[in-house]
Amino acid sequence: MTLIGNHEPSSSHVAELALRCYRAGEFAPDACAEVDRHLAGCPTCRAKLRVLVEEQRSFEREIPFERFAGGVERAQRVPRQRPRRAWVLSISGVVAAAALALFAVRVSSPGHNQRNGIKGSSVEATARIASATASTQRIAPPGSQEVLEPGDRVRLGYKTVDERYLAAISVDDHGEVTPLYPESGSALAVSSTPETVYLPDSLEFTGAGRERVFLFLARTPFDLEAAKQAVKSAHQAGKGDLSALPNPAFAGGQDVFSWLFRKP
Amino acid sequence: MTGRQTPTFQVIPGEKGLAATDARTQLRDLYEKYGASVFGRCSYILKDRNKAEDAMQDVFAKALTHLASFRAESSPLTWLIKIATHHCLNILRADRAAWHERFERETRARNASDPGPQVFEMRELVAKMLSLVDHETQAVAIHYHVDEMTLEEVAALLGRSVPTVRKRLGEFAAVCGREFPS
Repeated sequence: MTLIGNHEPSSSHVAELALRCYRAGEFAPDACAEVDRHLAGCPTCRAKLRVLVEEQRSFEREIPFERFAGGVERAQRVPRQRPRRAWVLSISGVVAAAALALFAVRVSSPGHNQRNGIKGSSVEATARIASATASTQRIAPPGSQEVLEPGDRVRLGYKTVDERYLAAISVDDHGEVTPLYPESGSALAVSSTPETVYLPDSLEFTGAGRERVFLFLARTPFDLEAAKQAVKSAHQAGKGDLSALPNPAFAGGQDVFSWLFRKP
Repeated sequence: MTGRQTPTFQVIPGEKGLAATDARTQLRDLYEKYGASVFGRCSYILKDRNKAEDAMQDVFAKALTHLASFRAESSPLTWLIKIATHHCLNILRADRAAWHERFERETRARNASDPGPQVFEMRELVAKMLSLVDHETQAVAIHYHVDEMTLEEVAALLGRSVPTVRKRLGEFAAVCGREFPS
C-alpha cells in the first residue's frame, strides 16, 4: 500500500485506509517508521489519527465487546436471510444493441389492454436488460418475452404526459405475487415526464422458471394490496400459464404493461 | 502492496477442538483493532446504526468463517473493508423499503441541473450519489474517495484493471457533475 501522498498528486498526507492500518498495527517496522516520521511533522495526519483512536473508543462504548461477540457468533450460526431478488442500481457503460431473445409464443392474449408506447399514447413503458457485466444492454418492449442469462438485470422505465400512480408487481409460475415498486402501501405518484424515467433499482431474478412483471400506471391512487389481489386473480384465471394471463384489473382504471421473463 | 507484516493476531482455522476462550480472544483482537473501522464503513453506507451493527456482525462472521483466506491477507483491514463495502452495498440494493427515498433522491438529482453553491465534502458527496451508479462503480468510488486508495490499489482490491477503475471513476464523476482528477 502506498503510504503517503499518492492518492492525489497534490496530497502529502497518509491515506485514510493506510492510517487505519497503521493504527491497527498492520505495518512492518520500516513502513511504521515512515508513518511515524510523517506524523511527527504533520499536524493534519496527527489529528486524523486522534480521530481514529477516538472513533474506536466511541465504538467500544456504544457496542460493548460482549454484545459484539454475541452478535458475530449468532451471525455465524444463523446467516441472515438474503432477499429473494437482488436489487441493483442503474447500469451504466457501453450500450450495445443486442438481438431480443424472444420465445416462440406471443405474450398478448385477446382482451389485453397492452400498451407499447405507440405514438399518441399518454403513457409508455419499457424494460431495459443489462448483462451481468453491463457490457451489453437491450430494450424489451411491453408484451415481449425475454430469456434472461445469469446476472442479467432488468430495469423498468415509464413515460407519461400526465400525473399517474405507478406500481410494479411480479408473479411467478407458482403464483407467488411479489410487489416490486413500491413494496407496500400505496402506488407511487409520478409526474409527467417528457423522457423515459427509469425506476432507480434494477431487478435480478433468481430461481428457475418464469416471472411475469406488470407495470401499472393508473390515473387515480390505488392500494398495492388491490393490485396484488388483481394479479393473483389473473394468475388463477390464466390457470397458472404466465404466457396467457389476462391483464389484472382493479378499480381506478389503469394502463397495464407486462413482460414475461424466463429466469436463468 | 508493500510495507505490511503478518497480522499480529493469530487466526486459527476452525478446528473442532478450538477452545471457546481462544475464539473469544481472537474475536476481541478483531474487535479492538477493526471494530470501529468496519462499523464506520457499514454506518457510512447504510445510514442506520442498527442495520450497520447487523452488517458489521455479518462481516466479522464471514471473516471467522473464511479464516484461511482471511489469514492469508497481507492487510486484514483492507480485506474487511472490502467485504463490508460489498456487503452493505448489497444490503442497500436489497432494501426495498428505502425505495421511495431513493426514487425521490434520484428525481432530485436528475432535476438538479445546477448543484448550487453548496459544496459537499467528497465523502458526503459520494454517499449522496451512490444510488445513481451501479454496484461496481459504488465500490470503486468508496474505495477511491473515502478510503483514499490509489487507482492501482482499488484495481487490485476489486480484481479489475486500472483503466476500468479509471473509467468507473469517470462515470461517477459525470453523475456527480464533477471532474475526475486524472
